[in-house]
Amino acid sequence: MLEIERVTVMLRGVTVVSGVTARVESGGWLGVIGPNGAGKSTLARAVLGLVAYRGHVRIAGREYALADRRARARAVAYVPQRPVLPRSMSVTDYVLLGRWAHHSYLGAETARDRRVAAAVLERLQLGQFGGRPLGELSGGEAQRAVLARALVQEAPVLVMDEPTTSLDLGHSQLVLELADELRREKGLCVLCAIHDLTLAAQYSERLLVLSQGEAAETGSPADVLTEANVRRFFGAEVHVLPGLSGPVVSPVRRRGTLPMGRTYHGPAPVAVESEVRAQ
Amino acid sequence: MTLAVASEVGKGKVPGLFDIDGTAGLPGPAPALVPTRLRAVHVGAGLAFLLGAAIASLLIGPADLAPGAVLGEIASKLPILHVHSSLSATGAVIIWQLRMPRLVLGALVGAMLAVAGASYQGVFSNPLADPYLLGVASGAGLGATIAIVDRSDLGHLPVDPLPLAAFAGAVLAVAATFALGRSRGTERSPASLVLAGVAVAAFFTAVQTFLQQQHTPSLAVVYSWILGGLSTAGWGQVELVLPYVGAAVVVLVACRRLLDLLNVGDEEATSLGLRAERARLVIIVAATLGTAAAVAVSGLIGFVGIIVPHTIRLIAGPSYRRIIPLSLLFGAGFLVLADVLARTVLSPEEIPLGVVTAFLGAPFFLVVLRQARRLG
Amino acid sequence: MTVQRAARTRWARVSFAIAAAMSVTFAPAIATASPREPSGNVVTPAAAFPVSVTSGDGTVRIPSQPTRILCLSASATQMLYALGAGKQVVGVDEYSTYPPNAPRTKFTGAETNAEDYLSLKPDLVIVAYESGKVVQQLQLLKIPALVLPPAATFADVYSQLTELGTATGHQAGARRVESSMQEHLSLAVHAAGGAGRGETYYFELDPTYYTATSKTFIGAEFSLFGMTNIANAAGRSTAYPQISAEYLLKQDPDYVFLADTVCCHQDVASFAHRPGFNALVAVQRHHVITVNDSVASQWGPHTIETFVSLLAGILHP
Repeated sequence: MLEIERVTVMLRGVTVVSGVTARVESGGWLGVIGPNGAGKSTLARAVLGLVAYRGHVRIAGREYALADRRARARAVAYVPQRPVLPRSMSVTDYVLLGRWAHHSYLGAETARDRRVAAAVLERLQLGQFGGRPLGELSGGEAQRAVLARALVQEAPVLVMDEPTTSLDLGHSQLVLELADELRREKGLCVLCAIHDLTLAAQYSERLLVLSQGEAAETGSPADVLTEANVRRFFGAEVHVLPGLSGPVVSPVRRRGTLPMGRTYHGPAPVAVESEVRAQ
Repeated sequence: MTLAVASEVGKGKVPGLFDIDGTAGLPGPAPALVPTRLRAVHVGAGLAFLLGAAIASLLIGPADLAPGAVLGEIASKLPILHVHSSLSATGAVIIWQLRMPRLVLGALVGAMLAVAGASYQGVFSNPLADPYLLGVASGAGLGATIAIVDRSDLGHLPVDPLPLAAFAGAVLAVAATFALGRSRGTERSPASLVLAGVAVAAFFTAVQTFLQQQHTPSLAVVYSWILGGLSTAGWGQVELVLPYVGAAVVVLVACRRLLDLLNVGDEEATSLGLRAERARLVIIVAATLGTAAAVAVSGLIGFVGIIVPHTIRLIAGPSYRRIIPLSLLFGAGFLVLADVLARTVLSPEEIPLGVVTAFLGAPFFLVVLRQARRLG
Repeated sequence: MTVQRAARTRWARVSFAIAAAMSVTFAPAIATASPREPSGNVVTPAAAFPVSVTSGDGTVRIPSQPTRILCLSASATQMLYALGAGKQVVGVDEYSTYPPNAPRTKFTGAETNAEDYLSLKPDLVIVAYESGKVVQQLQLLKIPALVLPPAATFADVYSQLTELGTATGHQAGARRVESSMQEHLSLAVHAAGGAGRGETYYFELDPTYYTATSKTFIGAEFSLFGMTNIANAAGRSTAYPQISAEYLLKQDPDYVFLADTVCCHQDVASFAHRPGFNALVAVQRHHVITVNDSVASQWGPHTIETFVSLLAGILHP
């Protein structure tokens, strides 16, 4: 399980994440939502140890020093927002990169590493793609390869940063369904930063709303996603409708009126978000 | 998954998420997985290439030595075969003190430049990176220039100051690049290192140009050093470079899998468990020291660090598990062969080695540029 | 190739030499002092070998009298033949144009592989500078290599003559050539009759105004006649500075010598044609003199005597 305790991240003198506390049980899915610049990606990166933070992050009760990279890689896996996909690297080699933390530092992968990778590829329906270069894969296939690489790390925590950004609805569903299936089967903890509120509601057990770096609300999707909250945090006018698998957030169009009212707090300075992304 | 199991999985002690040792949930046997490996046929080709180039290098030279006598002379040194050499004493000196050290030096320098070039390409994720990227060339050039123009002051040292000065200059330049390349905070991203390298190279070259202008009579000597060459007398230069090149090559070959890992960028590599900046530092330092040593004795021989790794990439694929070891073999053979060309094309005049590799490299560069758009 | 040669000539003079502090003043009285061997009777004391002669910064040992000399320095070629050692020479470099009957080869002296020279089977190789590791390679091959770097003063020339004399077994010949040179020089200075004293000159090495100051060998030859070099003020850090056309116009030298006739095709007309140059005193009085480039890069007896006689003739026609 994953425990985040009063995590604070400062980047170049600006507090991007401030005192966030949250908890995800095994087999749980915590969706992190919030407006642009709220610190969702930064929080994810703090859990991964990609950025220095104050506070505590515990995985299965154990805390990892920032320098203890290999152990941390066996504890938490990453599906990045914009993965780097070397065009000519084969799918097999790419997925096997995820096993690096398991075999020796300078050495080659072992037979066990290959078996794990084979099993994951098969499960994600990429079994036939092993020898193909990444450049030849379609968007959905590539995203599955990224997920496969994360899964072969056999880490109990899976962190996904905006996994649906560059995907269409069909592929978004595919990836999220797979992750959902696996977390139910294997007891993974999933921490997923996502901007699509409806999808967030459908897949997350619990939601955490970040606003200006602070944890503003937590709870079940139904509790958190109210029209008032959406207006308050996002400055958007919506109707929240009950759906079969969770609340559906439906934007409302009003001609001639701007949705931003006095209660809109506004996002963090844009410069910070783009600088963060450039790290 | 309980807490206990999760932490044990982290240590790799129990069957993990995918129950590999059981086969729960898997329809049928797992398909065979074929990761990229170094292929024996490629290694064999590399060895054959190097051997062929070596033989050519030993047999070809301005002093007419009969090939049979040369081979006999070499064989006579192998204790297992009982062959007597028919070569004269002068011939033996030519083989063992002139041609053989030149061959070995060429192989060492060629291997070093090729492996360093491949490593730089991996570390900077840029197919156009070459071992001189961080200022090695300009630093060595300045060191050599200082040694040449101050020859009257340094001429009484027991050891030739030129390679030492060139080495010192190269190391100084790269240290300056690292110091400058520290961008915000403690990060040394590849991009800022490259830019710092450009600035340092420009500065060192400017100082060198100024010195040369003040000492125009020495222009020819400096220039001929810059153009590169493998002139040897005895084994002194081989002894000079062997420790550095040997150590550098060992480190870089050992780290070849890390280069594949760095291919996905610093952030993802870190999430996969690699301390990316430290790994990059080790690789760059090893490649740079080895290159500096090579440059110190052989001048600036360009294009080897680009031509060889790229050719191998085109033939054997993008994985550094193959590129690094094969660059070692083919780089050595390539430079030895280029040296043979340099000695024979306009015999008895010798074309500077850097000119030969440039002639071979410039058209190749164009090919690479076009390929670079398609390669990862 | 011309650029290379020009660079070599400039380089050849200074690279290993210590710049002379002052110009050499010359007393005509010395000229007739030393006794001379009867000409043509060259002593070849084979028993004087082995000898050790100064070579560059060190010494080289010559085990027996050399009979197959490969001379890759134009100046040393002149010296060898003047000494009477011509019969011992089997090859000279491409640029050794005097004497014309010397056996010229394609070698330039810039080769970096000693194997190239083996075809001539030399037992002594003479060079003006160390090219790469050739000297060490020759040592490994047990062939003595004698490095005679460019002279900066007349004293350097005479000591090189002596070394060559010892190395080839013609010590007496060396003494003879030395006194003959001194006599020739003093006669030339006498013939000029003091006409050069106080006259200024500019010695051009290339059309971009690279020049030689009086601290060079060529400068020493001019100093014999008491002439003053206009570029001395620019020669603080190097004996081969580059001056500007403006500076030249301002200094307005009495005499101009063009030593870039071969490399850069300069002549009197092209010099006068440069903007503003037809107002120069040297142009107006027809005191612009063209010489072969080699004058500035060779210090053999023939080159020196020819040039000094030329100077005497110009100063006092």
